[in-house]
Amino acid sequence: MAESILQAIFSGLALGSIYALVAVGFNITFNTTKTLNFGQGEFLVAGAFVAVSVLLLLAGKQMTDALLPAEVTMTRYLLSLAGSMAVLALLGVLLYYTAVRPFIGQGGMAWVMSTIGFGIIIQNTALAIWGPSPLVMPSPLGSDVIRIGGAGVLPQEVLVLVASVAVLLTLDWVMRRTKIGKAVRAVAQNGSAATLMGINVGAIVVLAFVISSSLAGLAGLLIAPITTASVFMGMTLALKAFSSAILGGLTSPRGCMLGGFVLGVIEALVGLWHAELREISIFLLIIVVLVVRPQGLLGQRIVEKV
Amino acid sequence: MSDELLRIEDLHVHYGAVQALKGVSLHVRAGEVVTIIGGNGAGKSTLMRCISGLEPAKAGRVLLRGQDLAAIPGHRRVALGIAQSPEGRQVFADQTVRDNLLLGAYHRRASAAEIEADIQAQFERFPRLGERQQQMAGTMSGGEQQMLAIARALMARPQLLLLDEPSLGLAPLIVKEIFDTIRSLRTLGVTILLVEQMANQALAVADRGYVLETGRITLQGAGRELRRDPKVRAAYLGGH
Amino acid sequence: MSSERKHYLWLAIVAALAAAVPLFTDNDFYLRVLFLIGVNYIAAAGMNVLVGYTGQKSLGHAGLFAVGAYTVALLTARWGWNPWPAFAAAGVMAGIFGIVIALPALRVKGPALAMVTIGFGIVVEKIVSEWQDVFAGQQGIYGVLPLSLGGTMFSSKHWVWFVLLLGVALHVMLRLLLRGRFGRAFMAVNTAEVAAESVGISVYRFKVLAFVISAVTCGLAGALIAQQNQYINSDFITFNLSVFILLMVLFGGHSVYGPLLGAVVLTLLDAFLSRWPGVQHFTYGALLLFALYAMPDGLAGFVKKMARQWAPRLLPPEVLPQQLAPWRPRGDTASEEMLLEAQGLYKAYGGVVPTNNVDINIRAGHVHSLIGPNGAGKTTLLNILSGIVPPDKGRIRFGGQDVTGLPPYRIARAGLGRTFQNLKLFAGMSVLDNVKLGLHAHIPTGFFGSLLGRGGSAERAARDEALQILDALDLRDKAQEIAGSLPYGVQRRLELARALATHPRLLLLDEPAAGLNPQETQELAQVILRIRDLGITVLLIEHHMDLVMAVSDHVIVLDYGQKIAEGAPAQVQSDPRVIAAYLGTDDAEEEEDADVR
Repeated sequence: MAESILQAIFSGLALGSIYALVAVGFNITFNTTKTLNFGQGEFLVAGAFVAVSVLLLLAGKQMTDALLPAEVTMTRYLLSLAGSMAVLALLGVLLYYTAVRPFIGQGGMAWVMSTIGFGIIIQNTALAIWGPSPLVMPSPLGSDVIRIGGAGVLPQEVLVLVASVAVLLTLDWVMRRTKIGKAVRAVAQNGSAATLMGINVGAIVVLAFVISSSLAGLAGLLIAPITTASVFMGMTLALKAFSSAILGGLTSPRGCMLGGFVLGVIEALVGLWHAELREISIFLLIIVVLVVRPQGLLGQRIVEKV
Repeated sequence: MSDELLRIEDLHVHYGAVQALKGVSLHVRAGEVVTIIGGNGAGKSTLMRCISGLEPAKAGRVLLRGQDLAAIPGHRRVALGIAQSPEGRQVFADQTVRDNLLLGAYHRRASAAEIEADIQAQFERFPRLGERQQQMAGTMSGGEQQMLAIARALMARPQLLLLDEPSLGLAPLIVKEIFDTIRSLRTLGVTILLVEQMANQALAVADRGYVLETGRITLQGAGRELRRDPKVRAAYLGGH
Repeated sequence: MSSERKHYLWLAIVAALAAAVPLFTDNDFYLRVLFLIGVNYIAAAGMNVLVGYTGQKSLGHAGLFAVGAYTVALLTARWGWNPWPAFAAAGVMAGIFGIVIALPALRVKGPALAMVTIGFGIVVEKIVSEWQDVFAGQQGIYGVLPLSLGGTMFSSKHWVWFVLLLGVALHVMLRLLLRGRFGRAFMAVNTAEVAAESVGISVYRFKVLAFVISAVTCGLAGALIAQQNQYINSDFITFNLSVFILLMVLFGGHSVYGPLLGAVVLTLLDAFLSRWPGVQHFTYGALLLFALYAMPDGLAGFVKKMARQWAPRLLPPEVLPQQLAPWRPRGDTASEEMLLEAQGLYKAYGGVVPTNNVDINIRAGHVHSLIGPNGAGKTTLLNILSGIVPPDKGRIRFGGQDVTGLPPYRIARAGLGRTFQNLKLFAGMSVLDNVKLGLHAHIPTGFFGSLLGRGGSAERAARDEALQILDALDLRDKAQEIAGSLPYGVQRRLELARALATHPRLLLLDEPAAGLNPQETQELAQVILRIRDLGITVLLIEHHMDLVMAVSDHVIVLDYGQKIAEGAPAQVQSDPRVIAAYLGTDDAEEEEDADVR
């Protein structure tokens, strides 16, 4: 019993770290532009598929072939990571200029629909290229189960957790200690005051979208070996990531990270107890949060000026 | 004029649906302290925002050392030598005092040592900021935030310092401190354009002044003379 | 012929044409497409109230569709209900789910609302596909009883006629609802929530109402599909369905005819592309983007624009009555001495205290002015009095009633009207509609009364009264122009007209002279005095001292969050504390003179 719980906690942390990555992506663009990419789930899926394609390319195979575990070495995995993030970064820029910038500052939240529309187009393009069947990406670390305290854990799960935490800590450090990080925070806090400092707000905003999309791509790549990654899994994942952001506080980067981990663990534990209640319990939790403390655990109430 | 730092010619600026500036002309010579006074809705902040490039002009020109700034976006004007302490201070509340100062020097291509030296200089001028180096800017009092906003602007090593209503919302004692600070800045050789509501203090510290009423300059002259002019009081509290 | 009669005539013609189709063809495909257009129209019509009028974007209405479909399925196939009450029950259940979702969801705005609705849709999707025992997932529920008349089940033709009947009924009811005070209120909520509250509209309640309307129609659409197919399974319930429903409304546009256009075009597109689902969905994504860029008002808006340019007689403006009596406000005037008494008002935002222990008393029948330097806390005080900002401490009594902490719309209904510093007009609506919105709380027509067309005479009375108010402010000739297209000074007068229409006992004016030229300021002074003569008490914030001195009986001065002086205008003008607050102290002068010596 204890082993199952431990295992669930570990899987929950691994999955939660993915939510955290995507949630931080939401946070960065929301803080700087008051918008976020509702098609982020499709970006995640795209990241996974691009990575698979790179791996297939490196193994000298066709797009529709399957990958063998031996063909996925760590080096190739890292190369596919680079390729995936590069493509996703470009997509992020494209998203900003076509689906976000035309609608910023207007009421009516047209950007919600336009980013969804963009996501649908991405999804169906992916469908056309790769087909509806789930992709198979073997883990570069193999699939032999590791035993930690009696619980069975996949090496990929360890990789996911370690990699995500490393990226999140790096992001946190960059935001707090580097010049560019402070500039991004300045833009998020007050765009015109940032301009007075000589900060090019437009460029920072594009950077925010690049980071956000790359994080989604990274998340897709990390998660692909341990879930059935199909073209259709995007929305559910994005929804959970957004729920993490609501739980932790959409306006707080650390809140988004915290929310991701907490949500992942709760999901795993509920899943252990009653598998079919997983999504419903998350949904109900979010409703409760929105009613009781809408700004989330670490977020701040946004006061509207009349 | 060769020693003219800033010249504004017939500036027209809209703010939303309203025309906030209706043909404003003024000039500031290097080394001067010039003040623009006026009540609410006069257009003072709109003028400052326009000089810093945050607000586009409908007509008219803003010239810095004879160069028309029209084509230059806001974030490049700092490098040309214009820095502003904006209305309401607008410090970056979620960052420390030190980080705020570092952001003030964002555009500079200077070594870390040089910038650090400048930070120390600001702490000497504003000891309270030095005491609160690592404090979050948003938790400081209004007066401290105002000092920080001025120090942050000075970190850019500007030639023209724009101060937008530094007395806004501050208690009288603090206001006195702020104006003493402004007086002391003259020794730095920085040219100052001060926009204020507090006419008396502003005119006491300035070489020259302009009175702005509903988007137009209605009075101008030497600081001393304007202070004694009854028309200034009427501009605020109505004629009899 | 009046435009009302014309509308019903056209409706009858179109309906007759549509009803004739099943008489001339037996082709099942065409009949089914016609049926689907009807079903989609029903879903879109309700959705239009939520998205088009009230501006709340929901991406989870597939969930409500599912509620309707599975309600009929379970009631008829599992529990043997008669199909007719089951059909009605579907609508009711969907409405209940609508309320349950709307209550928490509509407390949040923006992206959070969109996400909550998406979440709802996905949760329902998961429940119906995974809870096999009850919902039979992909296998589905067979034996759903279709509607029948006199023992015979509906055939394809019957379904078309039934859906046509429902569609026409829904159209008529919604059109009546949306043309009256409810429609205006929905649009007001969309355009300017704070302004809507200021005329007595509870924004939250109207959002929930719009949501429930859309839930009921989507639920009925789901029930229709389930009963016509005599089968339902979880494949019907997808995120794409939610997008489709939303797309119909966005594409069609938010006028009353938008859902029809959207339903027709998208159903046909759907039918043609059904062989290639990938292309189908791709098209939806592309259409979504296209609609947002090229046709922000949807197809209906585009058509209307074209019609206005090329065939203006198709849309004639309403004819308005000419000679009307001068306007008088209702309600008791100056029955109490002290209309408003507030004590100890305190509000802090972190380290900033814009309102620091302020007492304020407003005497009925007088004009009061609130002045003070920039940052003194005047607008915050006004926001506290009108309920937009709750005070941290202190009490407010208005007309003998404690109103501290009440929501703004309740305070508005108690007789407190206001205008705003940054104009908050309902810019896309006509001048007349803006004033009619001011009258909102005084038009007695209820929700069901509106649906059934009972509101006609109350509407006409409201229109006449609105015209009277516009007359009083010299805006009569602009009655049918769009508010946002007017010059600035006129817009300010319109906001004043709207505030007057709420029949206020106390009128709060936040910088009414801002941006006005000297002549307009003079006219404003006259208007304020006329308002006082009508028996309405006025409190205004102003910086134009000449205006303040000309109209005020009593002046209150704030500085740094506190009251520093009050009294008659001339007295305040020469009060040294007031002068110091505005111009600064003279200490510096003495210091300098000392230096010089």
